[in-house]
Amino acid sequence: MAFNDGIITVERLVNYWCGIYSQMTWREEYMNAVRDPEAVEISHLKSACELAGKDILEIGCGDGKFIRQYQGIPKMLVGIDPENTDLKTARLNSAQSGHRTSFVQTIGEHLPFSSRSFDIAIFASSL
Amino acid sequence: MVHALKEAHRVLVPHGIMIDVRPLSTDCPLEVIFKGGSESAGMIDMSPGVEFDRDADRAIEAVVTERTYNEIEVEYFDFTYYWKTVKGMQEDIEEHWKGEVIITDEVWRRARMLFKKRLPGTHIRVIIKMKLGKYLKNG
Repeated sequence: MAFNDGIITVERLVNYWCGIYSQMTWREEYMNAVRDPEAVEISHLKSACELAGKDILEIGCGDGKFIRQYQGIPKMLVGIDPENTDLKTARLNSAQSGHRTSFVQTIGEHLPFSSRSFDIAIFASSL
Repeated sequence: MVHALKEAHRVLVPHGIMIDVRPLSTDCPLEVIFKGGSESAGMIDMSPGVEFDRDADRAIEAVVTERTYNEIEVEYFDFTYYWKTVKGMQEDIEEHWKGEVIITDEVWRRARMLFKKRLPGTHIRVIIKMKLGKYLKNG
């Protein structure tokens, strides 16, 4: 970074990074879609099956957009996806929300779990 | 896909539930909405995904036919995306949906024209058809 007069102060550094951050969040807000604010998808899932107290596996969880909406309800919740970058985002967001969702990098054709481990398996836009 | 469905069958408890929820490749309108109404800028061509839909449906049909699962119910519902600007939507589509949807220049042009009216609460809206199937593990 360049401060033309060569003087670097804490205040200038803070203002510099705040400026970059505000550009990033503005861009995210401007570009990214707001996805299902009416929460229709989760509403239909809850109508289809009781989630509370269940052990649930979501296959193809991606960055956790869908799983975030019902984590905290099941007894145990695991999300799998082959993409590690997406899983990192999913883990970060889940940790920030305080829920103990597990995320595993694998493919749906190879589930590293014992037989008869889950009550519900959800293919979330992954078939 | 059938292999993944059979793996899911393995890890489910007896009479466990398998849910298949996914978007359908059905053409849908790109709408500009504003306080008090909406106008369509034209249709989004979802045909690039049609073969994926068919493959997924065939996989489900295969496991139901061989009684790996019993179909309990299938329902359809609308799933909505909103964007604040046309340019934002274009960049989002380019980044996340490239090759999956076709939006013609004419549709984008009309969307920009509608957006330029700057009516209160103007947003872009796309409503996609979703399918949710619920299946019961046999055995």
